This record gives sequence, structure tokens and C-alpha cells, in this order.
Amino acid sequence: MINVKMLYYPGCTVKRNALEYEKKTLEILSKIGIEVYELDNWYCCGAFYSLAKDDLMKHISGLRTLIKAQVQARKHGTNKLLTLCPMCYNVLKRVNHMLRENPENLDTLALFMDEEEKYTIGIEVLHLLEVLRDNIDKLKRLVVTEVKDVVVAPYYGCTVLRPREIAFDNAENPEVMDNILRALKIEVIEFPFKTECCGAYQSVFNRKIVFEKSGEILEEAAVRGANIIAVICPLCKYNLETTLLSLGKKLRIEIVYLTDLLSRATGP
Amino acid sequence: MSVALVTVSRREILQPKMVKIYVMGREYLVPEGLTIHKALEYAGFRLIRGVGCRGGFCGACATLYRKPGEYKLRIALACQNVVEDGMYLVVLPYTPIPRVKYKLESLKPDVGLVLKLYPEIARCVACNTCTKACPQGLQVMDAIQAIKRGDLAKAADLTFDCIACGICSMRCPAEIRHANIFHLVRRIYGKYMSPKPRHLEDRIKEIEQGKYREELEKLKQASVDELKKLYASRVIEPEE
Amino acid sequence: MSMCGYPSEIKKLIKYVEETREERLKKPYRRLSLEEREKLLKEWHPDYKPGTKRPLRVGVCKGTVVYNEVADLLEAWPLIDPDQIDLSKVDYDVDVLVIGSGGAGLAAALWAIYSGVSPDAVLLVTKLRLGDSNTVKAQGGIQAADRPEDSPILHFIDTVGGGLFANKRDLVEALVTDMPFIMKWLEDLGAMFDKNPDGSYVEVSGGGACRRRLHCARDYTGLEILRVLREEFLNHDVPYLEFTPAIELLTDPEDGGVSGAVLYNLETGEYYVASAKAVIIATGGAGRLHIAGFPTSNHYGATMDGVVMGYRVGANIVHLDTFQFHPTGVAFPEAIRGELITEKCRSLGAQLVNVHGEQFIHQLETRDVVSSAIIKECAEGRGIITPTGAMGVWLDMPMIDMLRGPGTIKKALPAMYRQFIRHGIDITQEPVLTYPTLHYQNGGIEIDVFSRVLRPNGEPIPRLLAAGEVGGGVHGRNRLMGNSLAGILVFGRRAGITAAKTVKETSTRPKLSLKHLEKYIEELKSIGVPRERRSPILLPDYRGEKVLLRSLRIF
Repeated sequence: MINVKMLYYPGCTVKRNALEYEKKTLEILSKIGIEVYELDNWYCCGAFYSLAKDDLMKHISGLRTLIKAQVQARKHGTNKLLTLCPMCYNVLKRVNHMLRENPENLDTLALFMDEEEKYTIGIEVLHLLEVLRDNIDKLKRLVVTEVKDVVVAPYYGCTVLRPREIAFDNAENPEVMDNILRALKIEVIEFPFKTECCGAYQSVFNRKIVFEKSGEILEEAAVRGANIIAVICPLCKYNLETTLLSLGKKLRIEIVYLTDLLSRATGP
Repeated sequence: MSVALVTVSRREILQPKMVKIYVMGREYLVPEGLTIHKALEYAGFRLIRGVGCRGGFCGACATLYRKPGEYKLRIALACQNVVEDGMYLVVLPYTPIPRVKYKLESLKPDVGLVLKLYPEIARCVACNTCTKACPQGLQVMDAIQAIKRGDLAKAADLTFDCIACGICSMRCPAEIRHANIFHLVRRIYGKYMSPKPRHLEDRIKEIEQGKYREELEKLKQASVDELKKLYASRVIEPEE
Repeated sequence: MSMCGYPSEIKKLIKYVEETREERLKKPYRRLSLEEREKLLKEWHPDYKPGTKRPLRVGVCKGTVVYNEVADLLEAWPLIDPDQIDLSKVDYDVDVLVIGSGGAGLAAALWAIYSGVSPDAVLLVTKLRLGDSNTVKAQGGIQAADRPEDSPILHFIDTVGGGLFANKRDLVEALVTDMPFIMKWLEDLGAMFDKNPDGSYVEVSGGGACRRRLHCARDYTGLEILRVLREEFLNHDVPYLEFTPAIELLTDPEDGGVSGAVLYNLETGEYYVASAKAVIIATGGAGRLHIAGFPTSNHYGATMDGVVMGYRVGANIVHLDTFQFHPTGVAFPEAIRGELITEKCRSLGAQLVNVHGEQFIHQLETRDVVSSAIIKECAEGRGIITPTGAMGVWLDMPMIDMLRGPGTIKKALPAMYRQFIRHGIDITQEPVLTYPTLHYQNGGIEIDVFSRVLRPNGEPIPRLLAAGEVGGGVHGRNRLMGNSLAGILVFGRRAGITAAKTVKETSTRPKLSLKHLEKYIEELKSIGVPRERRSPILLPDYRGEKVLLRSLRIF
């Protein structure tokens, strides 16, 4: 098997709150022949993609990460930059996109960042789901056990699919995760709430909104017979889980990272 | 062997070349080669603020300056850097960086804690102005980023030579209180993450049990001649 | 010019250092015998130079010989006229007053609190900012005999021998037996010392020590200790006043003991009256007096204020006829002349070399001996003369990386690397020019093992404690490297503990007076001290002559 190399950008949230997600993911990737190199001394991605057109400063963090990737890309011979956290994916991919569309912005930022090499917009930002999608045949071959008694509601959240220019699937009705799960013979339900907002950062400001939004998602999944919601985002997981707790023992449903399910199917 | 020594005429010592500096905007002529502190004193200032150890260790003399025709804001330590012709300078009397109180013994070595006490680190846009403003040449932004990704050991190492002059915090668009954050991180590292010393506890126990009491008593009573003999007969441990 | 490095005439001389380096790396230089050391000191150490000292003519130690600069301070008028000070209004009424915020002052305040004094019953006053002190400038390390190969006994013998056998031995005993405990305390406070991966300390040799005993934090050892103590102090919310030195102690006329101090706001000129049940003097050293005309490695506020105040209330003075001239001050560049080149450079192997490239002394003899040897080399024409007419010998820094591997200098001596690269000298490639600099006040006001300040008759002055460089006795006539950081913490801690005990034993608040000045002022009058000679001086005055001559005080 020829190994594919990728740079890997974990981001603060994964390293702080989702180490199990990272561990299972890296195991799966290694099984399908993907060599991952974590960026040395990586910076924060910027956390949010700033929509203010006249405030380029807010994009520096993302750009710096891309430049770091560019430097380390030469060392490892790959221009692919893998992300797990949808927020990091969103920010890095949008900054990349914005620079490609508006090269004058890159010039302005380069003037300010005179200590760094110039970014040539050659990094390709990828999300885990894309990588799994492109390796679905390899994944199939890895299945060793049937994952029994599991009915999964795939839940995508918002930031890997919006806005359109960075999405890798239909933003209204994505199928990527559904297909991956099905390929591994895991039962998946039709889930119209798969891209509903979980409440996102309202968890910091107003928990009630999170409980409302995530509550709807949980109830709908339960009504449709799911006992697992598969997620790819640490923040979605956190919001769904805190909401679940706030509901007491009412719902028998578990929030699980997609790669955890894959790992159950493909064995240790 | 004969070696030519440097000779300097008396005239040269007495009449150094003068340079023009602008202290908070006012022009003074001072001898070339003086540190900014010494130049200020030559000009007649009696320093109270903006001066401390005078050796580059205490961070009291953060200095900002520009040179004519340049947009670049430069930084210096008034005790270390020498005057440059035409410099417009101010020695900062104080940098307001109030700290947050904490109890080290009940802290957890966790990045969440730093974020809780100093939430502004989340505001870092990675502009790197701090790094460019550091008179010690430290990778200040990298240290903040290391804290954000949870690598406190790295941050402690990167900031060890910080003298808390405060220039980075005066320049930071995210208004981060760097020096205080770094103090906190280093102490967390020192207390909770660095390996524990090996021999210390044993030696403390020996001392508490009185192992050296008798011999020290003898040494205290010994005559100077006896001590001299002991001193001269020491075996000096070789270098590593 | 900032980045100019050595002028070409000096640069040419470096080749003589390089020529002998290989040979010197191979062959260790012989150490001197006690007799040879004594001879060298007597001939060349500034302490033995005639005309630099005189016997005191006022105070409790009349007749005691001290350096002229010290005598000038002690034979000087107080800054205040006792009649002008209103003692009826007390601005700060506290249990413990700590004067000074270096390592000793902060340790004292913390240990007073650990020993039961309420933090808000402590007041710490300091002349500059909190923590501005010689402590932050201590680079090389701190001595503690913790390795199995070492012992407090050896630490004791090294210290007493280094001090020319003049040390107060019970103070030395306290120093060597407390130090392992102090290291533990610093560990608990989160101080970061250099360690091997297994946790054992990286320990190097200091001059005059027979074991590797020096614990360091790169070459920012004092800074690391101080900032940790300062953080801890601030976390306890202890009241403190910056830019507010004490300028005179207050005494209770009934027992002659100390009862507070007059404080002075350096920025507004206002005075304050502080009343306390225990006063701890932790004011540090005296480098800014430029004893014997030497430049100094000391911080800006090192002006001997504590000795002046202590002497006026009757403290005994010891060993102020001897100062430590650190062998390796900066001789070039002129901009930073007198600043320190840490002894750790020599601990790591850098040798001292004259203009001919010859080594002339083992680099790890005690400081007094090494300084004498350098002064001798220069006086006998084997030194290098700088463009400003200063003299120096070479300290062969590049040897360190050759001995211990490339990168050692930048890792173990970052402050030194910075200090010189700022002036265009790369110490990984080039030797540096060095000459002794005034570094440490070996003696001071005499203390006992409880950090109590003693009168000449050996009785403690009630309620007055001292710790750190201001205190005399522990180091004898020459301090060993790494014993000053040790001393400030050992006796700072003891002062704090004694202060807490004193507070408990002092039920009624002692009375406030400046009565002790009456007799002192009479004596000043009788020897005709000029009115303008006043002390403590608080800060040195380096203003240009031209300005001072035309200075008007109209505003």
C-alpha cells in the first residue's frame, strides 16, 4: 500500500477537550495508509472567520498557520493540511479561499508580516470527512465486526458545510457521513436535523439557547429511533451532551464521534 | 614578546563626538556611546522612574523611539542600549499591567486555568507585534500560542528570560497582559510539571535528625589554625 | 554606536588569546596555597590600599575603621530635622514594617505571614519598584549542599575559608543548614531551577567551593527567585508602598528599641509616619557609593540606607572596611562598564588571560584573590587598555562551548550573550574584556542567628531585625559566589519568624520618638560635619557637571 502524507492541524479544542477523538482518528487514518505530520508549534487558527471586509488583521492568525504549513510542506512533501475540528477547517479554508480570490489582501498582509516568508496559496485545507470519503473502499476492507444494536443519526453541524464556497457536500442535505457509516454496515436513519445549529458558542453566553436548539436535535433523533448521534465537532458534542444531561434520564441516546464508530467496526 | 597596546590621546577621551537626541520631544546634545540612561543623566535628568537595576534584568527602563524619516517604532532598554543620533525617545515611567490573584497550591496545571484568569489570550490574532517589540528577543507570540494549545512547558521555556518590561503588553492589539501570564505559567510548570529534585528531601531529613549537629558544633569552637588546616586539606571535586 | 564590537586595535590582540587556547584547554592551572593567597591580597586587593579608609568619629562604633565613602555617610546629618516631624499623627499603624523589597524583604514579609502575622498588619516599603534590588541581578546561582557527595560541613568550611576566617560562625551554621530547606521552599513556590531529566539539579562549581554546589536558573537565578517571591507576596495582598523609602528609624525612648520609621514619598516629597512592633531592615547593599572609585555591578538604589539608619539607633558595625570587588566586571564596551560578567562563566570553564594570552590565575579561586590577580596583571602592564582609558584582561568565553559543547553559552548564559551582542560582541566567538567591579558589601550591621540587630555589647536592639546584604557577619571578609542569594533567603526567613514572635510578645505599642538623633547630632556638631553632607542619600546623583553648576532650585 502506498502511503499518503498529510500535514495535520489539531487546533486548541481538539487538544484540550477531544483527545479521544484525535486518537481514534489518527488510528483509523493510519490503518488506511495516511501518514500524518502534526505541524510543529502550531498557532491558533483564529477561531472565527472575520466577516469585516476592512479588518484584515483578524485573518493573520489563519494566514500564519497556512504559512507554517507551507514551510513544513516542503519538509514532508505534501501540501495537504488535515483538520478535525470544523471550526478550524472553516477558518483556515475560508482564509485560503479569500486570499485566492483577493490576492491584494495577501499583499497587504505580507507587508505587515515582514518576518515571514510569502504565502503562495498552495496549501489545500481538508476536513477529516473528505479524507474518509475519498478512502471509502479502503475503509470497507477494514471492517472486522458488525456494529450491532446501533442506530445512528448522523449530525454534521454547520461549519464544514457553510458557506457554500468551502463546502464539500450539499449544505442542505449532506450525505458524506451517511455514506461512510453505511459502507461500514452501520444502520443510519434519515435525519432532517443533521445540519441544524446546536447553539454553538451560545454555550458561553446563553445556555438556554443551546438547550433549546440541541434539545430539538436530540428529541428528533430519539423519535426517529436513533440511539447514537454521530458527530465530528467537539463543540457540537459538548452542547448535545450538556443538553442531554439537563434533560435528566429522559432520552436513551449517546453522542459519539464518527471515528469512534469506525473504530468499533474496524477493530483494534 | 611585545604587543602593541591601544593608545588613545587624552583629547579624544575628553572630547567625545556629540549626538542629538530628542527626550520626550526636547532636543539635547549628548556624547556618543552613552547608554540612554547615562545620556539622560548627562543632560541633567535625575532618574527616579524608568530606572532600576541598570543591567538589563529588571525591566524598569522600557524605552520607545523613532528615528527621523522612519515609521518604524523601535524599542530599547535605557540601561543597555546606547543613544543614536536623531532618536526621538521616551523612557516609559510605568506600564499598567494589573495582575490577577491566584493560589498556586490549589491550581491545576491546565490551559483552561490560564484562559480563565486571563481570558484575553483568546483574543490573540497572531500579529506578532509582541515578538517584534521584545527587547530580550523572545518569541512572545509563540509563547502565547503555546499556552493556547496547552503546551505550558514550551511557554515556560520560551518566556524564561522575560524581564517583564511590559512593552509587548503596551503594543498588543489584543491587550494581553503578557508578563503576568508568563509568571503564572512558569510557576505552574515549576511546581507541578518539572521533575522533582532528587536529593533534597534526604538532606533535609538528615539535617532535621541532627546528623551534622555535633560536627558543626566542633567547627564553631575550632581555632582559626584548625580551620585553616581543614580548609587547606579540602579535596576539590573536579569539574564535570 | 550600538553594534560596533571591538575597535580594530583591540581585535588584533584577540589572536594571542586564540593562540594559547588549545594548550590552556589541556592543562589545568595550579591553585594557590593559603600563604600565596594572603600575599596576593595584601599586595593588590583594594581593601589593603592605604588612604581609602578612616576610623569613625561619631556613633556607637567610634574608632572602627571603615571605607571613606562609608564614613562620609555615617558622619552625615539626617535628612530630617527632628523638630519638623509631627509624630503625633501616625499614617501607618502596623505590626511588622519591612524596609526593602529584594529577596530578603520579600522572604521576611512572607515568613512573618506564615508565622501568624496577618497580611494586612504588614507594611512593606521600597525605594523604587517592588522587587528592584540586587537580587534580580544575581546571575550565577545559589549554594545549597544537597548532593550526596556534598555536605553542610563542607559548605561551612568553604564559606569560612572564603571569608578569611572572620565570619560569625553561628550565622554560617544557620546558612548551611537552612539552605536545603530553602531550596524545598522555592520548589514549592514553583521556582524553575536548571535540572537534569531525572530531576537532579544541574550543579556547577563556584569560586572557592570544593564541591559542585551552585544551583542556577540559566543566568537569571536571582530574577527567577525574586519574581516567584514577588508573585507570592502579591497573592497575599500585603500592603506595600513603592517609591517610598524609609529615611529614619523611630525609637521608643524607654528602652531605646525601634518603634517605626519615617517614610518619604520620592515623587511628592511628602513624609509619612509608620509605627510598628517589629521593623525589618532589608535595604541591600552599597555599590552606588563607588567605594575606592570603582564602577559597580549594583542596582540603582544600592546606597547603604539601612546601615545609616541602623547605625543611628545604635547598631554595631562589622566588616565595613572590606568590600567585594567582583573579579569580572565589564571593562569594554564603556556603555556598560562595571556591569557584571557572572562567575558562572568561569564555573563553566572560561579562563582569565592577559594581553600575551597567558593564564595568570586559576579561574575558580575566591573572588578577592581573582580580583587581586587581575588588578596586578593590569598594574604591571599585562592588561589591555580600552579606548576610554580603562583597563582589563581577557575572559576567554569561547572556551565554554569548546569544553561543554556548542550552544552551551546561549543556553546557560543567555543574559551574558544578550549583554554583549547588543554591543556587537559575540561571546561564543570572542573573549571579553573584564576588570573588577564593586559588587558586594561583605559586612554591615551585625545580626545574630535570629536576624536581630545587635549593639556593640552584643545585646539585641529591641524590635529591630535585619536581613540580606545590609546585615553583617555571615560572609566574613569575602563572600563566596552563591552565598548571597542563600543569605537573603535564610536570614530573610529568620527575620520574618522573629518578627512574628516579637509581635506576639509586644502587647503595647511602643512610643515613637527621634530621641536617638539628639546625641548623634551633638556628635556631628562637635566634629564639624558640613551641613550639606546628609544621609541616607537614597539615590546616586550622576547628573552632568555642566548642568549642576547652573542648577537653580526655584520650582
